[in-house]
Amino acid sequence: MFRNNYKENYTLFFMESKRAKKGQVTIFIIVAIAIVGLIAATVFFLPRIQEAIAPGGFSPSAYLKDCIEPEIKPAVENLAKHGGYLEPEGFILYDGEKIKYLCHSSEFYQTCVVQEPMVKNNFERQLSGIINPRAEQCFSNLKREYEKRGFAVSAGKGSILLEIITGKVRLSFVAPFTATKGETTQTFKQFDIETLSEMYELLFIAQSIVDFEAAYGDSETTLYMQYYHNIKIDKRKLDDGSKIYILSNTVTKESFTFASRSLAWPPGYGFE
Amino acid sequence: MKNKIKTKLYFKVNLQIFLLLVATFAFAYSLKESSDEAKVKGDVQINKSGIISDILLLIGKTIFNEEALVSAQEAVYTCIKSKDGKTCQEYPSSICSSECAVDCIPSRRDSVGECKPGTCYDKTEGTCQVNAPKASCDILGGKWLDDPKGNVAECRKGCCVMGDQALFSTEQQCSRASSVLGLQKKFRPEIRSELSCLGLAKTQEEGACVFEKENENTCKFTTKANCLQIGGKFYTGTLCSNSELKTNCKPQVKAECIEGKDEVYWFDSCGNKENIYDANKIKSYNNGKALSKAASCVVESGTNFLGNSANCGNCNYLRGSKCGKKTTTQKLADSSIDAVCRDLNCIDKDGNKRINGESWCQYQSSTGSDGKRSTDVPGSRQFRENCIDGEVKIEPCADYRNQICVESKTPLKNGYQFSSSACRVNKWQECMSYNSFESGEESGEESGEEEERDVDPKCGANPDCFIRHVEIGDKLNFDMCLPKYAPGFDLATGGQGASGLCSAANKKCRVTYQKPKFFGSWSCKKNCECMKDKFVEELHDVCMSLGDCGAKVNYQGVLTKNYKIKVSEKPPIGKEPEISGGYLSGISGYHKPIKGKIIDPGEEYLRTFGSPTGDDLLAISGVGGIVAAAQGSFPGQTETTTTVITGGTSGVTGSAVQDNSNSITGSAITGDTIAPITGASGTEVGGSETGNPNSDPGTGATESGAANSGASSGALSSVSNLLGGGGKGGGGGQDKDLATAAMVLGLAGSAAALGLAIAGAAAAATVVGLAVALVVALIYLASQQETKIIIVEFRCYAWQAPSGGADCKKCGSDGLPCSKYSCASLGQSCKLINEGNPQVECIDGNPNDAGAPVISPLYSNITQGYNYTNVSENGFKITSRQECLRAYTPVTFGIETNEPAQCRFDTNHTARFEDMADEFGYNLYLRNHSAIINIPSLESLGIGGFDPKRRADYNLYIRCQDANGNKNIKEHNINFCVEPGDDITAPAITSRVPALEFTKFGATDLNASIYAAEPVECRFDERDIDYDVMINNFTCNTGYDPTNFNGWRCDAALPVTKNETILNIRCKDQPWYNVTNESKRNKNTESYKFKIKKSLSPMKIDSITPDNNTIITSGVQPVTVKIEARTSGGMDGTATCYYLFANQSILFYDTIEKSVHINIFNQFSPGNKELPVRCVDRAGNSAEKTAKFIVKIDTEAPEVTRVYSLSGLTIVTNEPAECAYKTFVQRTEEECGFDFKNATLMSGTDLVHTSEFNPGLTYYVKCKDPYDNNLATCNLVVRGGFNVPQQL
Repeated sequence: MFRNNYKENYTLFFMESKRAKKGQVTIFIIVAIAIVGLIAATVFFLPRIQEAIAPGGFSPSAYLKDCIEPEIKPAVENLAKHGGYLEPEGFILYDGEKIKYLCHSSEFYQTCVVQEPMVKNNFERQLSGIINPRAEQCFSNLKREYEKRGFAVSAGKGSILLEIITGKVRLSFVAPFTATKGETTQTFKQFDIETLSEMYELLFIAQSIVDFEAAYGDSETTLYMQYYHNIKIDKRKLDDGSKIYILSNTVTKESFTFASRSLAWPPGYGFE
Repeated sequence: MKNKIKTKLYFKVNLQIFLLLVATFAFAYSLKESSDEAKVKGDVQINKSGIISDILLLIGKTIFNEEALVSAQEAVYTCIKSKDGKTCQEYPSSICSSECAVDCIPSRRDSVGECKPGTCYDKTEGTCQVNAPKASCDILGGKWLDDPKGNVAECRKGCCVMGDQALFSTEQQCSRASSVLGLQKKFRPEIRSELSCLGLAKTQEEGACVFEKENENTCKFTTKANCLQIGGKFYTGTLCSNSELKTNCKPQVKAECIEGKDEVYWFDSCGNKENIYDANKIKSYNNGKALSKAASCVVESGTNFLGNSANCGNCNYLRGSKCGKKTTTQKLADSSIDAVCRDLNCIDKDGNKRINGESWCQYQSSTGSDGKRSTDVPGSRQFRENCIDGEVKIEPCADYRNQICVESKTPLKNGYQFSSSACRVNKWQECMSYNSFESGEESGEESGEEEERDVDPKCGANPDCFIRHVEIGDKLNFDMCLPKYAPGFDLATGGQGASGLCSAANKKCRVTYQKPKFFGSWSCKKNCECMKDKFVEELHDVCMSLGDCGAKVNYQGVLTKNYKIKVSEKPPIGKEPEISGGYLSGISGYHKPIKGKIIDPGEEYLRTFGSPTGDDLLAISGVGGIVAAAQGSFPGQTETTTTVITGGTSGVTGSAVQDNSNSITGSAITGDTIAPITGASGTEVGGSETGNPNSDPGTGATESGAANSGASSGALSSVSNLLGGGGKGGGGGQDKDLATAAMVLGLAGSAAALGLAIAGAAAAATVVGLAVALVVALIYLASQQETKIIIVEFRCYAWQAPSGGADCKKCGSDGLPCSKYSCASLGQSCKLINEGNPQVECIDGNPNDAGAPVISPLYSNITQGYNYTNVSENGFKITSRQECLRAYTPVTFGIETNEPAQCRFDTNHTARFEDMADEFGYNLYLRNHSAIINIPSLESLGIGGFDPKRRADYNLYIRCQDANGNKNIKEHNINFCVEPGDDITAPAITSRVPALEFTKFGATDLNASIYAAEPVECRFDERDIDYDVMINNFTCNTGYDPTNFNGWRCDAALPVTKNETILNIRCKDQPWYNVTNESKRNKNTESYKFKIKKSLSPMKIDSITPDNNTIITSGVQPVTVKIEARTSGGMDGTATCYYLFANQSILFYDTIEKSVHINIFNQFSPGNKELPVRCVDRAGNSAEKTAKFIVKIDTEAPEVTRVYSLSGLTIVTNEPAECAYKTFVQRTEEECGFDFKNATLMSGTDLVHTSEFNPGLTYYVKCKDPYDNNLATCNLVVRGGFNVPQQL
């Protein structure tokens, strides 16, 4: 839409130039080429400019990022402290925190049953549960911000998609959004907010450890650390046979904590 | 002695042992579960799971009778969602409903659809989670695949290369990452290891990417792919600062670390990475060409791995260095540079240098066996330590020594011994199972034969066991397989089960002393070795190897002695045996780890790690081994140690009213309400003296000789009386000898007198006669011996921590984590606080306790009809309604202490707690102490006669000691009296062996046994007639001691004449009244029916699948194969099947007494396979068959063999496949890299594939087989008019 407006402006200008004096044609042609170049450049970069700078230097993406990002990091941290749950069920209390069992067997001598088969998906779901209300609020605030600036805003009921991907947490506002002021109209289909995070890697290492726990009753964590030099894994064994795993990224300092109880043994013959 | 209730009570003991077996087999199972490395016929890998309950069922039915099984084995139910939010948990049926948020399902987890373990595949991310319950996967939108080990095409991993990154992942994961990162991907399924894959990332070629910016040439050092994206010109292996490129980048302006790389790198002025730092800039610059790591400077110098670190930044992570910030000691010579190769190595606790990545074991005490005994001490744990990036990480192995730390060393080129360690399962339970009976088709009790204890040779091969040869004398020697790394017990909870286990080392020995009756002194004649220290010391070695038993130091070096040596009376010569000071000081040093000693992983163990090392069938008979071990009798002796198992004591001596001495034998007292003991050892003495057939053969002979002589003397005396001579027949016992001697003299005298009377003239003859008589008498008297039997008993108790809590704070002082176990070992009042938290601490839970325990009657536990009376602070009396306790009656009673305490009793007054004879119950610190006493008959107490007012009075004196060592000074007295009571009840037959009614096909007789609750004689007949008329006899144990915990056994070969035979059995009790007082004996008036059924046909395996060399093809390795066998015939068509490998039989996963038997293996490698299967029914019918099949792995992508255009495009592949194509107007990077899901599928999934064809387009065709094998590129590129086969 923005691209069409510029084309219109260009046409008007060209029609006016036809009425100019003949001797000035060359100059006008040069100027026209320059303008065409400018228009072409504008058209080419328009969407990015639109996103980055709305009327009055206002960037909706930056606004949303500023609004939501402070919520994301603590929410990720909080979930990661409890095995991916805000209020976990099936947990062990460790150091005052409820740590979710990602794999558990209540019996002795048995390998554990996986409690959370898709760790990353669950983390995303839990994180969405925390972030979405705030994200919706931010989106409403964005509308109000536009309105304060004299825009008429039309926004459909969209959705907020949260993804944990390599190196990032990505929050996508998939919502048609149109702001109109006079002849200026801005339309957005989606806003993507990305926050740097290495949680993706930690979650998949957690899943891999759970694989070992479920299959063999224990895991060898040294190899992970040798393969991935930025990863540290702390395994703490408790007296009841539970293990607390604390996975951390030494660079970003992010960590993910979960519990497992697999192939636990009782003292002696088990009936003391 | 009377034991009407003994069988019932023994059953409880039986249950306890059964639980022990549960642990053993469950353990074996867990091992199988924990590994998939077991091999079948060379290279077939197998796996099985979830068989605990079935094994228990089989054990129960094999070893115990049916009733015992039902009682002993509690069902396990599955809870889909527990109250605390856990999914698919199993609980014992009795507690399941209280734990479960929904209804419990009466089945094991694997049989519950929602909980069936499989692989959960995330279709979006492409990740797989093994062993995931179906319901959990479904609910999250995952794709559940029916293979718990992830052996499915979707989960096959390969190397995903994207630009300079590499990810070991599934293909879908690769696609997903590629799409998220916006990078071109190349998935390489042939790369099967993560390390190789990660290595690949580093080999991506980099170079200068030159492009124009702001009218000048600038540059970025990157990969070719990235360069193409930027639109620059790529110069492979060239640095951006290379003068030939004419860029604005200046070389070597700074040196820094790079995230994700280990080395220090130079950087150019444009911020591009250059070569690895070398103080020699020219060399490092390499004329503007990239220099590989191998060609760069070497940071090592000689044996110093960082010797050149001041000048070189080529850090080597694997050798222990990585780029990091400089420190005061670690820095480059060029002080302007902040980075340096940092030392990642560590210094261990002993001051040894450890290389980064190295792991080693840390022991808290001596460990393993020193050839005589296990040396691990209570509270000690094993740890694995790792050096990771300069930091030592401590990983505790499972506590209670359920895991041990093993270590091996690998020499590096520079001579350094690189250590690798692991915590692995301590298979100590298996050691106990190697103490098995000789196993045959029909061995042990079922055959009716006497069991022989033997140590399975596997004991020697198991690195966690050792064979202890106990040799005390000629007859007193035996082998026992014992844990090398003795398990720890739960010291905090008292450990009643531990007491049961420790008591397996209890032993009794009868020492016989003799001396001439009239001349000479005492000498030891038999089992004299038992009076030596060696006897108890060798037994103590066994004791302390069983677990935390006996005298041991805790891991801080404090010794407590938890054993008892009982000698029935002072020996006439020599001293009583004791554990010497030298021995104790030797074991007191075990708390110190032996420097340099490590546990070798053991090749044999590594080879079979996780697999059962025992033949399951043998292991089942090995159960008997455990029982035998628990029973623990010396060869040649038949006394069982049921008393030992329960920690029971020998007879509680009491004082008869007529004689306040301590001569009463026959009752016993135990501290365990479920394990009543009725004075087996007490009766032993009396039994021997009355010619107990179960007594020691030598002793028995002597005593029976005495009895015979008594009997003959009685007979002779009557003759001598007739003849007017002296002499008197005597009873049994020692006086009989004297009586006999007198009688012989009388006889001689009588004979002489008779000679005088008949032939007075024959004086010479008379003198000779008298002389002869005198000589005979003298010879006889000289030959007479006085015999004394002394019983020496060694009792092994569960280890108890020292009293008090002064040492609690030492927990963790060695820098190793403090656990509940280690804390509890330091003192009775030590308590772990903040358990499960980093702030965990071991404290003295009761530092101000100075009072001794207060003793009172245990009101909650006294047999109905009995009361505690006259209760005072000094003691109480136990009374019945008639006041005195009736003979033969078992009475449960107990004491309660106001704090956990250890109690002892004696029948004599003693001065101190330490002087008291026996533990009241176990030597555990408990609040409630119970005992069962079986009131003996007055006759057995030596108070004969018919006076109904006869009474015998008992006194028990008790003292207790609390956890802080405070003891009662004053004795607490328990008193009761006994009144007469006769046995008027007929004997009860309690069980039969075999319990199964069926016999093997073709059997003509059955070796069978029955068990009675008391000593009996039994007969059988097909007719239901009176005992006295029955003609077939059982051979019965008529001694005072039961055969085993089932009671007194009678054996016979029963005829199997019909398809169904019912034999009537009747018994008669009190065999000691045989002939002499038959009227006192009770006999059955109703017969016990012993039913025997014939197996009507032999057992058959009708089918086994796969068979006939069926080919099983899979796209991934290992392969999952389901083996199914169907049985018929035999007992009823049902059987239990085993598969055989490495000379071992392993139970099928789903087989117990079924006609369809299934086992799923998920670790098969490719090749020809033969899996022998043997099925056995409960009657012993068996059949064998071998499954033969071929496992093939298809990792080859399908090939296109023909292509032609016939009303469209037709291609033919060499194997069934699915083909898809894409058309591109122009060749692009992606043309052959498309995913199937984004392409157009051709029709046909077999060999022929068709689609429409536009000759104006180019078709890029890819095919994949059912195992997802496909080429990374196109199979075929087709253009109008011709085709181009591709292997791009």
